[in-house]
Amino acid sequence: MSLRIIKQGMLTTIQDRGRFGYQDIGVPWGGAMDDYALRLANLLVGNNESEACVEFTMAGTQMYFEEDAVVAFTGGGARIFVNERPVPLWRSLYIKAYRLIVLQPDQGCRTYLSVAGGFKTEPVMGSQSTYIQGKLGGWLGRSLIANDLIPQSHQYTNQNKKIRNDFHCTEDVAIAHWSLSPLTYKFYSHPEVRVIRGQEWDWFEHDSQNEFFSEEFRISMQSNRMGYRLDGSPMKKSIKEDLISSAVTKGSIQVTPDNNMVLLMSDAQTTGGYPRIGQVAEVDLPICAQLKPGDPIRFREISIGESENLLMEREKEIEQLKDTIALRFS
Amino acid sequence: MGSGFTTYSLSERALVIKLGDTIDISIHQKVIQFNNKINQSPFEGFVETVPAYNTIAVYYDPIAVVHSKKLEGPSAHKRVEKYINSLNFVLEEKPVSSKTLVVPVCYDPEYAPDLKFVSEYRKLSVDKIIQLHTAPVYTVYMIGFVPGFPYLGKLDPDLIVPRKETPRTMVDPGSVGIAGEQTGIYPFASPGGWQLIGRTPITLFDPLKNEPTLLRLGDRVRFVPVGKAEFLQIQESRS
Repeated sequence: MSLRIIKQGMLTTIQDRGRFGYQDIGVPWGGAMDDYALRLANLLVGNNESEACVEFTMAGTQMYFEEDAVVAFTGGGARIFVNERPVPLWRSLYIKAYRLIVLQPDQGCRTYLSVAGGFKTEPVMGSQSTYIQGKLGGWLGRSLIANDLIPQSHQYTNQNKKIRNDFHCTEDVAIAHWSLSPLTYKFYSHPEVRVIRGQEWDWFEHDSQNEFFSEEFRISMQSNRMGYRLDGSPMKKSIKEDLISSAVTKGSIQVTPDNNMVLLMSDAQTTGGYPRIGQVAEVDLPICAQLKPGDPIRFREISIGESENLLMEREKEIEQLKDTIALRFS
Repeated sequence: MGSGFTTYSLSERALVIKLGDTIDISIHQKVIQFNNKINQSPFEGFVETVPAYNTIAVYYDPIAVVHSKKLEGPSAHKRVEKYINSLNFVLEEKPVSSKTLVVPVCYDPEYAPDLKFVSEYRKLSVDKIIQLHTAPVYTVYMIGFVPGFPYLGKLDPDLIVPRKETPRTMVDPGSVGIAGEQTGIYPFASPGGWQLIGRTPITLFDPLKNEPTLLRLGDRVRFVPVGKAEFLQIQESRS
């Protein structure tokens, strides 16, 4: 009936696309760090794209399903083994009950597991996302640990059923005959992250502004679902004003009083009082979500108009992908 | 000052309206009224607002905005900007009605780890600090930092102290802190850099309630000192 966790791994949580409508009382959107990978994981098994998935940070998790399950792994934080056999990411899979699933380290940072029908945990404030600091959502408001048993829904869409019926699983695991074009996830290897100038860009010294778009920074060890500290050249301010706190959001790059940068991620607080030097284009946030401590990051400037266009294009690609999958299983 | 404002894009999903440059009750009244107006007349693709001291962030779904037949403009952010400008916001003379709540606070040393520091820093007796902290009726200027954390102002100028040099990794729930011109309450255990001068036994945030927060933007708060026995009694009666 469910997914049983044997080993928790580094950080394993239930996430969907986020919790909307409560930011005015300080509740962050939260949701998957890599929203793109979560959406595609769902589409691969025939789910609605916003269904809750399991988000794994790096590797170490071990688990099994207590019944046969149609699933997909996406993202890039781990290599997946089912009873020691390696299985691909970005592909729908049929895994038989009580087969050992193990996550081994890989290049990226985060992996998503969808299951046909979706994981069934109680929504809190309209979302199943785990918000660890607020101890709410997901599974008991916390990360998953050994012996947790996460229920899955048995309310299947037609697409869920058709994708399932397409499998003929004679061994521990079967891999779908169809797959996504590798172009779908090629952008993850893009070397630069595109950034819009932040509202307080002019507060920074000219040299710091130049370094921001020319130097390499590194994700520091002090990084989590709330945000990443970036190691590298200090961002010095020529204006020593105090900023009055106002809204910040996922992708905002704030500069703390010690001239270090913090890139805000999914569980970021809703308001902040530090000057914002930049805002990462939303289409490049999945790239950031796959960076781990020690990884390099470079920024390239674009305008809000360009980043909005990129977002429109990305959405169009996802719509086309939905149509293609729907057509194949109609 | 009129109803003038400027806007800027925070991201592809948020336009920020800026209504002034200072922390000021009259600017904040504009924030409250304009925020109400936007929420009462939402546009296609509107998601939510985050009102603060002198700004309102308007969050929207850019896909729904560009597909809207009603909104006009070459891009989502231009469309939202145009819509906001078209609202013809005019400040009403009469302030928006708000509730005034009593919040009991225990200033016992056990719950007030930084009261001594504040007393030494400001060269004021502990009794004087409690008196100054409980005298004003504060306004909720913003809710942020963590769910349900109210930023209350303004503090008596004699109570202005810097934040802690090294923030605490864990602050007890209900802790009442001060920093700069502000005072606030930590709704649950979290890290925190404010100077802690007391603790309230009441619950400010409950995610399972229909109204998860006790306080909302623009509400007024009066702190009332209670002894340790009373603190424990209130805490007991609520659990």
